[in-house]
Amino acid sequence: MPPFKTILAATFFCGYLAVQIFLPSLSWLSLSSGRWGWGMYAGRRGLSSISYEIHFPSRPAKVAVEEYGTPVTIIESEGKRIGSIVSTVSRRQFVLPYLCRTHPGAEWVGLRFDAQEVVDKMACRP
Amino acid sequence: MPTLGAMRDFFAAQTGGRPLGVARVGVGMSALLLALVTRRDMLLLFAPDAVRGRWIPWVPDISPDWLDVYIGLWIVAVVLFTAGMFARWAGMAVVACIVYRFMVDQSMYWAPIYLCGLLTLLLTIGNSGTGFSVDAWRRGGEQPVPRWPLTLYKIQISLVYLFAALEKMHSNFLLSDFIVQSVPLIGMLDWPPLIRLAAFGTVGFEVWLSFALWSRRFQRWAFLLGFLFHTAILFCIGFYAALLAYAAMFVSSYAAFIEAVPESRRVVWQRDDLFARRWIPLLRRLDWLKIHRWEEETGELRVETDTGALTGWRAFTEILAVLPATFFWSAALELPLIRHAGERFYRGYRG
Repeated sequence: MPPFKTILAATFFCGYLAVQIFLPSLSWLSLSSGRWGWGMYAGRRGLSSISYEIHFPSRPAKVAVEEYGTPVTIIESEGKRIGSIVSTVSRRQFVLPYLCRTHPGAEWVGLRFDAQEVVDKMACRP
Repeated sequence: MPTLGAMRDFFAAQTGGRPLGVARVGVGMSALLLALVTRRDMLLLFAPDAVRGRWIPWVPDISPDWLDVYIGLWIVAVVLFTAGMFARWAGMAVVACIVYRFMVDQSMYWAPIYLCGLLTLLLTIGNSGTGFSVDAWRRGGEQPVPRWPLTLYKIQISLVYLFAALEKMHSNFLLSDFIVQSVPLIGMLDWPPLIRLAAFGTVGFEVWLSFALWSRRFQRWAFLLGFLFHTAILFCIGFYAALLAYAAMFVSSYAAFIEAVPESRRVVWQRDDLFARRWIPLLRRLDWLKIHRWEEETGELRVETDTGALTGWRAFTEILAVLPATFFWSAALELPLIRHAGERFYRGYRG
């Protein structure tokens, strides 16, 4: 085997192994979103519910929004379906802007896990 | 330097391509199933209220007009890859299709498809199309393949089991009722000690499996128990496409762990022996890895391996342990009661 091929093979071997140990380790240590790891049916995140709040400056009450099922359906408190998610996406990066877009006039939207306090808040552009 | 020399030897070492060829067929069939799953998932992206996760804006978006072209390309590539026709190009096309799925929308990430992509990549780099393939048949012979991709492939399988176990080592899985929610059958029995046993047992088993696959002593049991484990998951959780694909990928990938040096074992059999006359032609047809040399001599059915010789029923089970169609269940024939019955069956043939 020519030396450059050996070096190429060794580089790939070590690089691949490093990535395949590093990424699942990150997932295991909960430093990533659980992607690129092997936690199917592990229940690691332990999230039983994800919900949102939509606040309007003109209305006294907030609009409560919840997620159900897989694929995920996003439903407002009155039972109106307002969105769907095929599988996991970053809620902060994609669902919060989506809620702003679909609720013109909203002041800000918030994200909660397991009925805790709002963990992420995003101001909507007027 | 001895270390450098050993490294050079490791990367220069070659082996037969057939074990990777068997794995290629299993992974290819899973990739076919996952192509259909991808079509279903992508149709959901076109719903007017779908929350899109366009995380790499420069990647061209998929449209309903192009979906069937994309899936068609995936299917053609998978069929060629599985059959072993232009397997390297076809494998690269399958990997490209899977990469596109992940890049087009963040919600398209899914662990079974990720694993399928990784295994296809390793099978492509490992030149798995040289064995057990249309390409080999057209060329009229098989070529040896580098050994290091096979080693990497085996490490990948072990890592998945190991990290799957590590991900479950937390109270939410071990001590809460999470397993009851995932496996309704256990929940129906409603007996807490059984629920705890199932949770701890699953974690312990996955750790054991990740190492036992490499052990000559435990490997056969790892194949059998791994096969039963994936079958049990299907029955307990459901025959979902992802779980079916997972099961097919893992069980076919166990073939990569078989020490399959071509013609490294000698099987001696006698045409007058009724048992051998009945079973040897079938075993020869199933010896897809071409591990055995079949020689007619007088005497009892005997298999000679690098660790010694076995005769009679033990020889029969020893042969089954390395055949791609039987290796994952052959350990069951070693269980005391079955072995006793098997030896009687063998003696019955011989009169």
